[in-house]
Amino acid sequence: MARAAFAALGFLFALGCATGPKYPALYSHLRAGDCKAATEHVEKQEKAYGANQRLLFLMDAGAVSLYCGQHEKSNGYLHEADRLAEDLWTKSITREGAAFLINDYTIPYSGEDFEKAFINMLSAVNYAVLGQYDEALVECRRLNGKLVEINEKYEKKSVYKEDAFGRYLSGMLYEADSVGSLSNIDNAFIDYDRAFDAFRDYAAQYGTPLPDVFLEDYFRIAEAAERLDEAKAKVGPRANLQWMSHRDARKRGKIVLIHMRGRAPVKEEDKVVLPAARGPITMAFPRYVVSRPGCRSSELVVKSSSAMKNAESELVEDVAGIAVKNLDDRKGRVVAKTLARAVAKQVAIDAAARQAGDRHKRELTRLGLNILNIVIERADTRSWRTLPAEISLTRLYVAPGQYEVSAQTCGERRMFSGSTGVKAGETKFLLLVTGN
Amino acid sequence: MKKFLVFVLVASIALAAAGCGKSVKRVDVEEQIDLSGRWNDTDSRLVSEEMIQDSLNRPWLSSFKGRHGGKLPVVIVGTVRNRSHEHINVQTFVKDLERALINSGDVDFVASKTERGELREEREDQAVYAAEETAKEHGREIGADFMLQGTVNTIEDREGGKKVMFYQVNLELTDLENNKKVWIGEKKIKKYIKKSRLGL
Repeated sequence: MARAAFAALGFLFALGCATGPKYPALYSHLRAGDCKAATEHVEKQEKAYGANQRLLFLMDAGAVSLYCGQHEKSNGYLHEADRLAEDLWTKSITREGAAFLINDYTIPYSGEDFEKAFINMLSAVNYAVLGQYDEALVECRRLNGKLVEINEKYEKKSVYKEDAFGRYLSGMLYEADSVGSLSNIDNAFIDYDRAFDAFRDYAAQYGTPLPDVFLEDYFRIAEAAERLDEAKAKVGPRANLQWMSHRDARKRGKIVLIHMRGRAPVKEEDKVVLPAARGPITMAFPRYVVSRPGCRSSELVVKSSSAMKNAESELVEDVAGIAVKNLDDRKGRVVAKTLARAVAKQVAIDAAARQAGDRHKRELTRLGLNILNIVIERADTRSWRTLPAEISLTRLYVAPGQYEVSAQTCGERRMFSGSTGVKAGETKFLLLVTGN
Repeated sequence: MKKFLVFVLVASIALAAAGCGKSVKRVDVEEQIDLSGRWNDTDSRLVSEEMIQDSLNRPWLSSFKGRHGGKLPVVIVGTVRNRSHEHINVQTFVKDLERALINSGDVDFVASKTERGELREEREDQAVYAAEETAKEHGREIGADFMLQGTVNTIEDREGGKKVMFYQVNLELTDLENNKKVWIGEKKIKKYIKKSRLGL
């Protein structure tokens, strides 16, 4: 019986024990701007992720394809990730049970709340850049569904339960779709309003300042939706900001720059081995290590034959801050589970040791298993490492026509290929990715 | 306790092993198979059947023929907007409707905006390379009388592992001369999807 149990234990340990993808090589391909190498690298690593990390593979492949401008391919991966994340909502009793005897790697990684929201946000960005606003709005509705669920789960707790960038993007997409349709002005206002609430939380939780570009858009749509007083009362002192009216904005085209930079923080493990009378007790906890990108500014530059306009981008999402706070919020549960696992393992080791023959063999078995446990006890350090560390955004209103559009960032100018034409009331989304 | 732990471990192996292997079975296109709860081929077929049956039996068709001495109405397919929570391929039911109306012999269709680009390119090509007596002339396209447009809307209600998804598909024909809407077809579908929080 004991031998069967240990064989089973060994099998499950192997199941959760994939070598993992080689991130340093991927980062160096992305830093060098070698998209062909980066996408090939991720795809070749598919098996190395392992069955329990399938969601991470899809997320990484989706993000890398997005950064490399392969928007349709990226959406293929992100849609599959969305479906898998939904399926993983159902927890396996047997796997959860096994996790108490081995480690969390026996359970398939199902994503943090904010990571699951980012699946839809990145997909919406893909569709927005492709100019497929209907499909982008499908992703925004899916994002809304997730955020509503998270809100209900956590109610008054101060955790990730709204997303300022997601709501802002959604508001812009409804606004882009509102030419000739007043009902989408109302939808845009609701999303901008939720974005304002989220930005207010971001300021308190992560120190993200309320962006001026967002406030101008919020007031413009509030006025168009006849809810300006409501918006001004909420905003308070900064309500004196100037903004372009919706009637004037509709006669112009809009060019939006989304700047994704840096890499999401990485989880590392803190392992504690406590000496005890019956053998060492091992516990391991995850901790985020944040690295900020070197270049954190960008400017949208729009040139026509006669004029030039530019606008500095503003921070709209501190992904690194969100990730760190999210883990902090979960710390209590992580610690409780780790302690419970330590206890369960001691019970199992004790029971196994009693199976051995004499006292000497019992002590040897106990010691051997405790030493083995030092190796197999691991903190769950899985996370979506290819998310950006920060997202900033800006936009410019221009007269309808053809423009040469570029982004200036820390001494480097990136041209957006070809000339960009905008008609009255039209919105074009452009993506800039730096510092991966 | 010991026996429970062994049971958990052995059951986990059995289930991990059971995930292996694949089998393929061909099924009838009319067979209803609902796997994920999302929009599927059965939903598309239900929409097609409803729209085809409704559009051919409404007064707009006989009214047009009556006013135009028996001439068949010409329809162009416009945009069907997806305002739902899922990426739905609307072409499956739009094409079914187009096919049924053409094959009924009562309605003519012309190529849509996206389709005619390729046709016009071919005519340009013929003007240069094809024999004069076989080359098709420009300016001979038939103007449509009606445009087919539509929307797909959804209402989602969810709590925990339970979700109710309501789909409403509307297709409409609009007179291109005077903007009058002459037909609106509608199909509603409602699904209840339940997921268990715990599984083996």
